[in-house]
Amino acid sequence: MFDQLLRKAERTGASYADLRVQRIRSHGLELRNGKIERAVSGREEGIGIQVLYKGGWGFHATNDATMASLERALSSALKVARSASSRTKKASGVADQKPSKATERWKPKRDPDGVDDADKQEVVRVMHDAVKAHKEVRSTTGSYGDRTTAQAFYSSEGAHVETEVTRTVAQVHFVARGSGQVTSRRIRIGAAQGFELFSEVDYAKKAEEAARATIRLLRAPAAPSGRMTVVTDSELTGVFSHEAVGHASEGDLVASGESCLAGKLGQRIGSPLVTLVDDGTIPKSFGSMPYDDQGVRQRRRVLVDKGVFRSYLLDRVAGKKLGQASSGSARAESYASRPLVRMSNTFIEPGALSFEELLEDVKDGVYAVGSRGGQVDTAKGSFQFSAQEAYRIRGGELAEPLRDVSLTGSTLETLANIDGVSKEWALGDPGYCGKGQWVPVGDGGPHLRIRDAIVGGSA
Amino acid sequence: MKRDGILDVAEEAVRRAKAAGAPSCEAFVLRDASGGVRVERNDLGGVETETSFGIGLRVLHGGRLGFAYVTGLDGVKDGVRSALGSARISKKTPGFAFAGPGKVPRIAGLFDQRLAALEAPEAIDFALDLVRSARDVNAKLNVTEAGVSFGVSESAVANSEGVALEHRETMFHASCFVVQDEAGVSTGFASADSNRRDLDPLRLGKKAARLALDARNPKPLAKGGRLPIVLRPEPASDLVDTVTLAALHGKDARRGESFYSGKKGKAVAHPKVSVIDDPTLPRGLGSAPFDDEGEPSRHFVPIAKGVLKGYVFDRSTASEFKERTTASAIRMSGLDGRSYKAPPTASSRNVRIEAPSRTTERLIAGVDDGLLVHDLMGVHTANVVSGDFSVTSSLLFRIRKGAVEGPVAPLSVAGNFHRVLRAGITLGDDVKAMAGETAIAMPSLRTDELTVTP
Repeated sequence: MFDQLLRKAERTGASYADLRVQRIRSHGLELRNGKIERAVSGREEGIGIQVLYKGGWGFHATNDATMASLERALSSALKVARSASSRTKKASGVADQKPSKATERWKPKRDPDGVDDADKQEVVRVMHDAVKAHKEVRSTTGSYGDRTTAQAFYSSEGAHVETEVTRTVAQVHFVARGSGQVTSRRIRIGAAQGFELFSEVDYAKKAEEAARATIRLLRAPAAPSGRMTVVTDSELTGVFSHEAVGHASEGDLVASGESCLAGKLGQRIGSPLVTLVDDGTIPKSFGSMPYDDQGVRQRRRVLVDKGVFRSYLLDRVAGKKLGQASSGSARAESYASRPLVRMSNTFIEPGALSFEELLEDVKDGVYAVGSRGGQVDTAKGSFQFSAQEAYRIRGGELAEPLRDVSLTGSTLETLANIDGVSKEWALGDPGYCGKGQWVPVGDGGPHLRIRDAIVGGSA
Repeated sequence: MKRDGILDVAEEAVRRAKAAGAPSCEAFVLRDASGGVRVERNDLGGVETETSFGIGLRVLHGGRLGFAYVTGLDGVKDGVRSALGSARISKKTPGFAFAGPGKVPRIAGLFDQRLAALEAPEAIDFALDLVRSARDVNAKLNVTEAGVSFGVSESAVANSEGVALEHRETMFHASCFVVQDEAGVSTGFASADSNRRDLDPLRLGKKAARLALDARNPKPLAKGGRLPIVLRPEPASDLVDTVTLAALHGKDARRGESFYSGKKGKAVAHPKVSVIDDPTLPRGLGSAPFDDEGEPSRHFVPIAKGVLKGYVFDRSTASEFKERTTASAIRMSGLDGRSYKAPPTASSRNVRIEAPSRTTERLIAGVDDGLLVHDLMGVHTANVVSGDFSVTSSLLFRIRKGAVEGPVAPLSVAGNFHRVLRAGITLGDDVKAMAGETAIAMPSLRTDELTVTP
């Protein structure tokens, strides 16, 4: 039936068409202080169809999967593509790609569909208990979610790729008060796997440690402001890799002139200690998937190799614009959205120093841990991240905790100022990346030592 | 009986839910038809259209609420089974009842037939006009990103208490982001929201272009410290949303988790500052005759002349704390925006701030030595409980002796937004209406409470 529809698109003059059919099963629990506030379950099916007509794209999505509705979807997409084609200056296209025929279903060991809600609730309750053991923690909110997306991708070129991925997440967010201060923090566990995740990870311990560190901050003085040496932990390194470098490597932003890395392929953009990778094949990692949303197989992509910028992240459309092949980086939030160039799991490779060696010659600096979020301007190459925790470094050793530390800077300057990379390496908490659409991602890396970083504090 | 009106669908869903074993129930039906056009690098990028339809079902069973969503009447029976299942594990909500019939206000200007008739080809022309108008200002500018989105949204609520309401609205959004890279890199942006077909692409494109040109060759500020700052409507509304409105959530507040906890009846802002949430305002971007659980909309003033009057509740959080709903139920799904897939939560709907005001020109003229800030990056990283924030501005200008001088290099801006409102603010008259989970109408805002670090 879908093949028929795509053939019909070609008969009406489309040079390329594809469609994604998704069946999504999801369960969600929201808890407050360990008790369920609401439970939501849903099933939906939907279709996104995309058509290229004389250099113009049209896309239509619907969650009504009857044949009549599909016919309407196709004619709407064609209408849009025709009008786009007559108004676009530069014809769009797709980079060459051998059409895949494959089926890859990542079946979870424990399908969350068959797990009792009570067991799902228990995971969040345990995290709640671990956090609540501290008297400063006044309350918690938590959530559990699982989502299984089965997708069939068809293209007019003959691709037919069926995939299935289950992702499972549990998180707890708490508010703590003490010493006249209030603070909050989120701890998230998640992976591209089923409910077995919770027998593989010590989530109680993780929650407890995060709570202890956060409570220490209640008594901490505000951070100083100014330029100093900053050491970042894996999670903050991951956020920098993703936000500052990853986004600037996205081919659609490069093609539209919104990236400070445009035209820098083959050039040195950072310290030779930095090798930065986007890898969608890491088993179970939150941002992994078997194929991208244009039916292209996932892979490991080295973006920066020993300080030299080696490749952009590309889907077939941005690839065509930049004269390169897709890197398998097309991702859409769901059937209802057109795929964009997106990251998967983004990180800096480990280095040679131990954490202690990294700190050793820092006379006065800040150790910044975790992230409460941030923002980047990929065109200017500037960024701002808020650390979750921070500590002063004095005479090569960790000293007192600091609160409200933010890190600001120029991406390229920061890449150049990295003068130490640790051998300890980890992927941070799973995340969701927003670029008009939300997709699950992973990021992480080693500890980094950055000279002359701009620390913004409130002191 | 005709079956294609969404109120008919909602009422039929309630009948079927009752028959399936849920005597106390509610159906929320949402039908959207929307489109979006994206410009990339001065040229047309993607164009998308979408139709979606779904039903959110709530059941009250044994004093507990359950929820499930389905995508058609055929799914209601299974949906009710799922919802009853989720009710069984949910906590009790004593005193909860679905909304009863009430007098619903009539609000003008929320649906525009001309906007409803807008089709993708016309939206494409609009988007390309944005590009043209920006590049008419200077042909070397690049419109790296621009977008237009438009749509019609129809919703209906019916429940076992006899509520049967429907509403439709139109929406229109346009934005334009311009990069100048002849003299270093500088950027400019402009955006607008409306519920009528009255946005002007030429004005928006020009505005973004001029800003990018004005921002060329920024000079670093020699010395940081506390300076008078005029925040443009976008960063000002970001802070109001992230800090002030978040603190008004009734559930957090009543559980001692908000900065406003325990402060009802007390001064939380300067006596000349009020926060008004009025979803009955004609043409309001967050206006609607009823909220997303069928409660008639009403005017609500959470902060009146500096005094905290109350928090924001929907029916379930109100029943939990023995309060009354403020008709603040919205259904937002993190992934989808307003959605039938989400049960109601409480949130401010259509907010504006009142404070001493003058023309924006005079607002700026009153600053002897300060900054005019067009953007703040990372406002969402503000500490929502304490109100502390430390963020970056990369599009800002120096104000000296009441006149806007040259651009200033990126710097960090820190402070506490609760303290900003307590100390008192002055507003301009360049009110900008911004759509979102909460619609906010905001002019430029002057504060002397922020510290900058170059």
